[in-house]
Amino acid sequence: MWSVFQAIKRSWTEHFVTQFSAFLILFLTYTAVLFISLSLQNIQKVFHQWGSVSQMTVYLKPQTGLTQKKEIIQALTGHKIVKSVTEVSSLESAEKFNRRFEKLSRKKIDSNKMSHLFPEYLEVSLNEQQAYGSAGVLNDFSAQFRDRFPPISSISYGESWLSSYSQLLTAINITGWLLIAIFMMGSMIVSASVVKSILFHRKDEIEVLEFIGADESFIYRPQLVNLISLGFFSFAFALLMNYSLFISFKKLSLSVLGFNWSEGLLFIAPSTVIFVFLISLSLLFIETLLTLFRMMPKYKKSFGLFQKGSA
Amino acid sequence: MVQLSHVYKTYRDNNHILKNLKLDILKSEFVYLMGPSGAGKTTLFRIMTGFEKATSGQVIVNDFNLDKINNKEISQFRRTIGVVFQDFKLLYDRTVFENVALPLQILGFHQWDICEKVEKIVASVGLAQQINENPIHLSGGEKQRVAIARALVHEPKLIIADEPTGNLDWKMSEEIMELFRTANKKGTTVIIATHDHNLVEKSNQKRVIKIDNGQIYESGEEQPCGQYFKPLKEAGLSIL
Repeated sequence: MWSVFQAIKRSWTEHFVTQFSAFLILFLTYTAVLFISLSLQNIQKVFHQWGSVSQMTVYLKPQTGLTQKKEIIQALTGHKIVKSVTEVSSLESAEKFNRRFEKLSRKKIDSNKMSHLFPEYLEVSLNEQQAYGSAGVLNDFSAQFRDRFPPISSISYGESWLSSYSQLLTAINITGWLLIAIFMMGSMIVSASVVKSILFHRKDEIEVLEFIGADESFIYRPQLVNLISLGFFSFAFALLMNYSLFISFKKLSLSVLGFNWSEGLLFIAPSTVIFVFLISLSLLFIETLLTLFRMMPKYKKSFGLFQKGSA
Repeated sequence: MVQLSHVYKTYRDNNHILKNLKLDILKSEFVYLMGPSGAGKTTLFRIMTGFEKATSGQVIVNDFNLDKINNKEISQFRRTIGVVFQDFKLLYDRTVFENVALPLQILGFHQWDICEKVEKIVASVGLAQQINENPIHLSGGEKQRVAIARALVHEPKLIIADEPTGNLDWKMSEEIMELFRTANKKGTTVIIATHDHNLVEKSNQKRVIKIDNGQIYESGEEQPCGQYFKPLKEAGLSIL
């Protein structure tokens, strides 16, 4: 381990610019990757901050019995995507109609007489994060309730809007993950370039090491440890940078807007951090190994080792 | 220690560098491998050190069959020998200590043992004062002494040197040869490839193998080397 540490120290001393550039590029790459993860995690919350209260209306058939109504309300309240349920009678429905159109017409309908024309319904307030995760959730939910409770005449929840919203979220998610993949590929290219550059500079050293009996792992180890430490530290700094930006953004939103607009926003989940970290380091490790395996035979050939019967 | 039988080395253009080579070198022998430039001694040196493979024939060095050896075993084999090059092959981004310590690090010695062994061997080649210097600041003779210290530090049974005095003046060459003789007295088999007749003539205990046009002619005065005295068999082929 001591020789590996010495090799890394020597590599940093001799190839400081290469090493530092690699660190910087990896740091920026991981900062971008983590920023995208952070954005993807919070994008729905940001949208909900801008939108109105999300709700669904469950219309009931006339003459729906009290027991049936209770059963439906109970079933709705117990569902994970439902926050609360408010019962609106035919009479209240007619009054709401009057209130909504009072500016357009002086005449009002007689709520008591005309109430039979208005359906009884249930206003269902939704748990946004779970309800709008995908268009399928609400579709399934409404279909399930319609089938289960015949007194339900229809369920309305802005299907077209929901479909567009969910498509937008899917597009954002796909773009985000694509960007993450591109950045990860970038980090692999960086690691390959660093390995190639350092190997090229170590060519004489590798030749001597081969001559005095170093096996490939002795030669590879410093490269691998170096790249993995570069990846580790650049990831740690990138995480720190994202956290600082996140905290600063939250404070700024409070001081500029006067209220904590970003209260519901959360930093990247530990599981996501660990996942991205492991993927990043694994890619670095694999690319470093592949580059070493690609480069070493070329170097060996240039040293004239193992060329049976050939010049 | 070294056994070569029916060894051929042929390059792509049907250029036969070595032809039907047969050679036995016993433990503790001090062998000079002589011949003019292009005679094939460097090729033979590279084959004996496992840097190159023979086109055909059997090469056994330190009980390793080099014509059948694989990548993993070749590293293990190289750890059992000490190799000295004409151009020293030192690493100029490291100190004398670090250069000499390399074989021990490869063998996985503990840092404390490395310090002890390196200091001892560097002192024995007369470079104790320069142990922390970069070899780039040393003279040619001193650089070769560092290379010899590196070749000896892990106490190999066999040392193979290719023109170790090729870049040195007469006085330096003598000092370098003395280091090889000292190692040989301790039981290490030494094979030196050289074209310097004066160097060979000055040496007392020796076996001289002449290589010319890819073939070996064993000749010259031979002196007993401990219990492993090898009688002169092919006298008359070439007298050096």
